[in-house]
Amino acid sequence: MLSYTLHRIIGVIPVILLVTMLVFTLNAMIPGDPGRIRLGQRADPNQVEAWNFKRGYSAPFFTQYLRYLGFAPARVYLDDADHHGPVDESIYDEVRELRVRGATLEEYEAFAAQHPGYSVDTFRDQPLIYRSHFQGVLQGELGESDVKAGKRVIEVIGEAFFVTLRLAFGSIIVAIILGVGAGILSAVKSRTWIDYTSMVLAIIGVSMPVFWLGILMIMFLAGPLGLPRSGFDDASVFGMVRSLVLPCIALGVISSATIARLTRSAMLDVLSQDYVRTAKAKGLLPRVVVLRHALRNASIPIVTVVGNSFGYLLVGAVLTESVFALPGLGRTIVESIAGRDRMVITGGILIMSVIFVTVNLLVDLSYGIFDPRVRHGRG
Amino acid sequence: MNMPRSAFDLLAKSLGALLLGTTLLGSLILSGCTGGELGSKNTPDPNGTMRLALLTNPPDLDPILISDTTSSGIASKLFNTLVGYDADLNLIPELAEAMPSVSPDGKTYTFKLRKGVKFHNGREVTAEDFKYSLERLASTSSKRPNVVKPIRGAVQAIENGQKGGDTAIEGLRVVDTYTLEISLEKPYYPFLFLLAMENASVVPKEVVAERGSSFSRAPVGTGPYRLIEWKENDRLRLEAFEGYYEGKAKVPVITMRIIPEALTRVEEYKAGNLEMVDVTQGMLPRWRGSAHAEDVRVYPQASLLYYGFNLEKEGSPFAGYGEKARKLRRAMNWAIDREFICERIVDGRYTPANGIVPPGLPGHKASRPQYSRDLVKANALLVEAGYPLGKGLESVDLWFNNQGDNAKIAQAVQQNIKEIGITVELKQLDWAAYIEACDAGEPSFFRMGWVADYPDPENFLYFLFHSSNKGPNGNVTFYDRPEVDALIDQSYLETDAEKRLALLQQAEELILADVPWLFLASTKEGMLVKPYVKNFNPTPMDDDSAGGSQIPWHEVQIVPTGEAQ
Repeated sequence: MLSYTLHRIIGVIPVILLVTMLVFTLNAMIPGDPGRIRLGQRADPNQVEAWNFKRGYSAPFFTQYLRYLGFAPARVYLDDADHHGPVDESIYDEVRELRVRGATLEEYEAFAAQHPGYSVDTFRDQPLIYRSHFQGVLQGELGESDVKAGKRVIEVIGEAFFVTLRLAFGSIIVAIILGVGAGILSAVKSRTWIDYTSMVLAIIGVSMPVFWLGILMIMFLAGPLGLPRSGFDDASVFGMVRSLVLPCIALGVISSATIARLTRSAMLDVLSQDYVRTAKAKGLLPRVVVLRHALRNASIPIVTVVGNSFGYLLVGAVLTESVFALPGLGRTIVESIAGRDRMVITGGILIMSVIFVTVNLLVDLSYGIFDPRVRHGRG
Repeated sequence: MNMPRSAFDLLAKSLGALLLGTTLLGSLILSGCTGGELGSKNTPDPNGTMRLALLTNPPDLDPILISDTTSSGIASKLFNTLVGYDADLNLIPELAEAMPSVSPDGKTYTFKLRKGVKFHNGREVTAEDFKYSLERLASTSSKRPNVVKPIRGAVQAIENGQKGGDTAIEGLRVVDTYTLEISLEKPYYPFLFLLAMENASVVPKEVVAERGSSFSRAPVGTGPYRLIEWKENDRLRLEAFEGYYEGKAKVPVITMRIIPEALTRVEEYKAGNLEMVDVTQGMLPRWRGSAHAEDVRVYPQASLLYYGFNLEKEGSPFAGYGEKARKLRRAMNWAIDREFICERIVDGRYTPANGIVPPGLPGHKASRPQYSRDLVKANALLVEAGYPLGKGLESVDLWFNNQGDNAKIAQAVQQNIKEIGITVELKQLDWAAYIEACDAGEPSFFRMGWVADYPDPENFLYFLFHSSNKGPNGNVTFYDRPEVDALIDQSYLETDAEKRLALLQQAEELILADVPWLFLASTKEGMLVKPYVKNFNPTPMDDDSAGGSQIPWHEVQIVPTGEAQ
């Protein structure tokens, strides 16, 4: 089991590298010079060039990619300083210290005297001290937003990430309860009105856009249930749960439909097996037969589809977050695509793919729990 | 065998209940869709908070980085400029004590500052702060160096900045603590308009130095409100600043939630969770006909919509200044049903245009008749132009970008023009690709708009028609008439406001005679505002984002119905 797990984890690394490479390439192919988009259409060409240089966009594509990964050394610049001479990190830190304690002019002058090539003004007056974002993914640094001045990508994504994660988990719980529940019922009561209606509902669920369902819920459910229509209240746990109820249902219902259909067919398959008949003949309670003997053996396809749904939930979260005005990762990425914030796009998609791959890995590993044959490497 | 079947029965029953619930919900939805009275609660927040919705997260709140309406709507509540506008869009002193004294040669402006104006950190504003704030605009970090460009030495300062040097501007001089002298390279009448833009707001140097680039996320200004909280993509919270120089704002707190989806915003407004909201497409007539008709506010915007011709396009029968081409363009103008477009297609949110300068702006000529639909005139002009019933004209592509009502309007125009025998094909692009094509002069017939940066005819005439602005700067018709250039250039040197306006009006008449556009409409903004919001009077320079930028927000009040004002 351990070696299987290790194998799988190692297998994930090239996938994620490939994703970063792909996103990085796509980013470079989006029309529009990043500096021009950032500084506006009527910006001075020199200004655009200087901006691109500082952000590293004037470097060749492959150099940019290597720097993003962190293979090229981290470099630190002082804003508006001579672009051709990177300042080493010690100076950056010292200057920051001078500013934080509000050093006197004399102190700045003494400091500038020690560092020829820079004026006192550079150290004292320039509004920004700029830390190059090319610290690299390998060092755990996703860089600095191109658009949100002074925000690191990890800050931009971080807050949003946890909102989306909560939303996705909430929805998957809704999806499992509704989907597995309806699937089992349909299988057990197969070819009855319960079976037919729940499968018709499942088809409706599959075809219903989450966007539309969300709007309907805001219009007709939020009021009577006394739930907030939109927004994310993180002041209290209770508020948070309340603001996630509708989005989780909207998103969960959609996935539950797929889960229900798959659960039904997997269960029907198992329920017709001999050992189920044997179990029934032994006089076991139907509950025990269905839940312990049948469901457990039907669970591998179900777990797979639940795991896959998780990926679709992340995608669906983009729309759900828009409708319910949740400050999540999907919206952050969409917003940064519109604003061509390349660092946030790359970082956001990197995080998304890490989640996706991790969930798939967990799904694969969980097979071992349900099926001993996988656990013992004979699967 | 008597087996308990309870678990499944229970499940079956609950599923049945679920089905019933869904059916009920479905019928509820259906009944909701068929109409019924618009419900909208008029319940102010118990704490008197003003709750607004934003369409997007503001990109930046540092004045030197602002170039979008959402950010400038928020920044206007946090910052102040030397001069501002009154309700009629006349320039008035803001942080200046009075309008500046201008030297006889029109080049030097002397500002006396208000005394006792405080930054949110409690420090008093001095002339040094303005010098610093304006010089920041010349640095490489700034997105709007053009705002200070007319100042003497600014071009040099901008170049210095790019080389990593000092951005001190020669023409900015601190005379004493409360006196700032600004000298221009040459007289430039619209300079005060530039100083009234959010970009020219005063900021405290010490805070900028301390916060560096994060100043944009945690700005400090002199405005009626302080930024207390900003959760990206979620919400902003502004609190009234005790030390505001015109007295503490009447509304203690403004919250702005970022709600990208239009339907969600309207639902929140109806539920009484927002004090104002933009009106979504097609909703205006329904609100007007409801019990909440008084919530609807429609006010003119200093912006316009036109369909332009590329006058330099080779091979285009619509290009050039010859009699034939002008008559052809004029004939098309007479064919357009502007009333239909303005009233039917956009629910009255447009006003038919009678020229270039939109209503609500100084220099707008209300007496000038507009083109109305007159097919007889149109056909007669076509005959004069040598294309009777459109004969001899190949079909022309009408380019437009795929936003809002553009497609519907383009179809209406297409239909109108077809009626005089000219075939128009529609060509739709996304904005980025579209603007690139227009800047390059690719389309010969295209849709375009212009939103004023400041309320002055020069902002329209200079950018849209001066030959020095051909292409990306705004003159996408590639209009080029030395007489018009001369009149506009002359207007910069004229210090007398009326004579200047007369020069610009003369230029507008010359342009109109050349018929470079299909003159279509000027636009209006539509909003829903709760009846208990008082002293909220948007001007043509306010759009609906963040509740407008020119409104004196310290005077806006929330007065629940039934209470004395």
